[in-house]
Amino acid sequence: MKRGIWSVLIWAAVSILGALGFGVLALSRGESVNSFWLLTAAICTYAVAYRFYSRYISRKIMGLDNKRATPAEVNNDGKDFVPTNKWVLFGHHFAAIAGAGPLVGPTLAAQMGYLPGTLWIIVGVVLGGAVQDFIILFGSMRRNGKTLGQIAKEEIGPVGGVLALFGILAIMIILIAVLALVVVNALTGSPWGTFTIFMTLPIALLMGIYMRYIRPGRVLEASLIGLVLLLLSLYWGQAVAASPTWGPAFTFTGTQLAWMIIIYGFVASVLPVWLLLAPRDYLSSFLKIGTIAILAVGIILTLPPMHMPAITRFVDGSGPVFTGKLFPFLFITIACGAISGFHALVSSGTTPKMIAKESHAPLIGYGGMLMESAVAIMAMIAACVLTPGMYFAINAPASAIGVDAAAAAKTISEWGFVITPDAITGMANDVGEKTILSRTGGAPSLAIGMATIFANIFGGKAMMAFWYHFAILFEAVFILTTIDAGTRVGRFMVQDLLGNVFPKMKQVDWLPGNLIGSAIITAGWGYFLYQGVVDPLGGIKTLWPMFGIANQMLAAIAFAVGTTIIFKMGKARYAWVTLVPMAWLTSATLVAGWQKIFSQDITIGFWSHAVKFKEILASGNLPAGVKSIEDAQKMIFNDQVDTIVCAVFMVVTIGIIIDALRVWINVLRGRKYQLHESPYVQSKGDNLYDSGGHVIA
Amino acid sequence: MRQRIRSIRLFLRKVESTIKTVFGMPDYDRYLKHWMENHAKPGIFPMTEKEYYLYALRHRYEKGGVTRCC
Repeated sequence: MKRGIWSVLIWAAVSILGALGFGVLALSRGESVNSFWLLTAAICTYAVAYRFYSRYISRKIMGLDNKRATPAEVNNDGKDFVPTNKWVLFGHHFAAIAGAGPLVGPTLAAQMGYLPGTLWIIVGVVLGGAVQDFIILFGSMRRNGKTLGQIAKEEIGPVGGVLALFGILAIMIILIAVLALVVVNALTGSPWGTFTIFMTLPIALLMGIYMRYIRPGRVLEASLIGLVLLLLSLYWGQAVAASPTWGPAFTFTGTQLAWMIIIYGFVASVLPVWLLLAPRDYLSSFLKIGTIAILAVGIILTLPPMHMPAITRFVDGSGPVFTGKLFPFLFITIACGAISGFHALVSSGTTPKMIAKESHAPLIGYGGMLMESAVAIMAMIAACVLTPGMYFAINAPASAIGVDAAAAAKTISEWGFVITPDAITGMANDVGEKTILSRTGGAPSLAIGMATIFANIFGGKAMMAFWYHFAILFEAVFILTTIDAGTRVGRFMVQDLLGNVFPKMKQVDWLPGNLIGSAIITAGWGYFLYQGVVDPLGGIKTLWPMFGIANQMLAAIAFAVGTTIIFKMGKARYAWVTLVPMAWLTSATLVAGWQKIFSQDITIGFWSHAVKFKEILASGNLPAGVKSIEDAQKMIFNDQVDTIVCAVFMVVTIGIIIDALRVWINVLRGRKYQLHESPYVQSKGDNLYDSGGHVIA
Repeated sequence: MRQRIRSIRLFLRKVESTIKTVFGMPDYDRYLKHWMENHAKPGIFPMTEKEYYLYALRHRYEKGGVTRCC
């Protein structure tokens, strides 16, 4: 009884503190607001949601049962199926879902002010993203660790299954392209950054050879050596950039970098995994978790003030970073961190095969996503630490603010965000870059924000350039890991698809099949990357919304699968848990897709943009900012491709939802469906964990 | 003293295994333990550390099992 009272008091206090945080954020009208309030609002909401909502879902819908053996216990094979300590598995799951997405999305969305993005991140994750990860993890755990595609096929039907697979391949291509574009934009004209990223290749090869021939299997030793070498090359990068011979040798244009990344993706997909892919994966995992931890410590220790206003005038859709009104475009710009469909693939991947007890699922599925959301909140803070003028100088494309500091400062000040040309060039000097203007893609702006925060703790201004390039290095390294791992996974999918026609293609170790599959998938994302790099309007503006639409489409598919599972379990009363976020996402995605195609505003609609360009060409003129007729025709062609891709995403989403709706209506009419859960197996009871967090016996 | 060294070693081993599990790295000790408990028979031998390393990498990456998120 006494404990009950304490619990009520504590949770009431947490709720009040969270509400206070929101209140301060929403009502703040001063010059700046302290990031403490943002953190408080987020963390208190997460705590309350985790304690009450995840428990509600697990009790009312899932009926989690520790007496029921998990796939890890039933199939314990010491390889895939390994019962794992829940905190260790939480780490594993988080390391798999966290990436560049939650860092880039909030940075772009900060153009509307910190409030809209923050609210969406917090509300979206609690009611949407975490629910999705949790329910898919649960579904996969009850189905022997099956993947999202397989579950869709079994529970919804063959049509839904094929559409889901198609959707997964499509999002893969757009995802890789947009992330590659982020790297290209961060490295263009930056010899320091480029040199450091280049050095990761020989370092990874060295690690690969070390782990295979010199000290077989000693991954931690090799990773430690790799990390030290990486930090050394980061240090030497400054000298390289300053050198009159080496500096220009590592200075590349966007087009050159795009071709290098395309070739890299192809080579990484073809080469054996031990040589390049695995060592890079290890290196980037350490760097990723380490940097996220440093960022968290930095923000908590310094609690920096945020200079961005709560809401800027760009909620009207005229923003320079991305165009389009708050609804729907905010909700597709921030995908990862609020709701990320891609997580459905991770939640139905290795994690469900390692859960030791069913009761661990809320912590790993729901809690893991809350953690990613906290990363998105930190990215939002890092973006808002910059003055708004600085933020727009870095993130607005050259077509909006011009190419020199004086012109940019004038334009941005006219928008109402005062900044001087000296401030812009001064910041470029501080971080050791030639220019910071129009470094779109979110990475440079995040890096400058992080450098500002880190420099407050350690090293001051003198260390800022080092911190900036450290942040760029870490983002680029784990984006490149997403690119090479993604290209490989995409290659397997292509080989699998082609294998239906030519059976030999299914053999992943058959060299011609390997080369053809890799070439097809690389050409797919390479096309969009190249298009983004040469786009005079700034490719991020085109590609990021497409990625958002693709990602949210996948989330809608995951929710459709989750809802179907809930209906088939006879829990239709509670189906709103997944139906509400699904309805919201579907409407945001479809409205965004519709506007991207048909909007009369040519900065938004692909189709109207193409039509407008055709009209201008037909009248014998050239559109503003375009150099030749060929360029204009290329842009028209790209618009048409983008239109088709958007339309495909919309058709796939609608198709799956209609197919699932058929099942739901039949269930409500009383038809009995078979739920494809694995048979119930009694758990052997509580086991002890061994030294590595694995269950003994 | 020997007791203390032993407990430090056990602790380090635990840390190592945790890191390997979190990042999905091959864990030879875990494999050996599983093999001893479930597959050990006279006349057959477990994989060497090198064999296991290559096997585990192929198993993890060649099936397309690694989906890194955005």
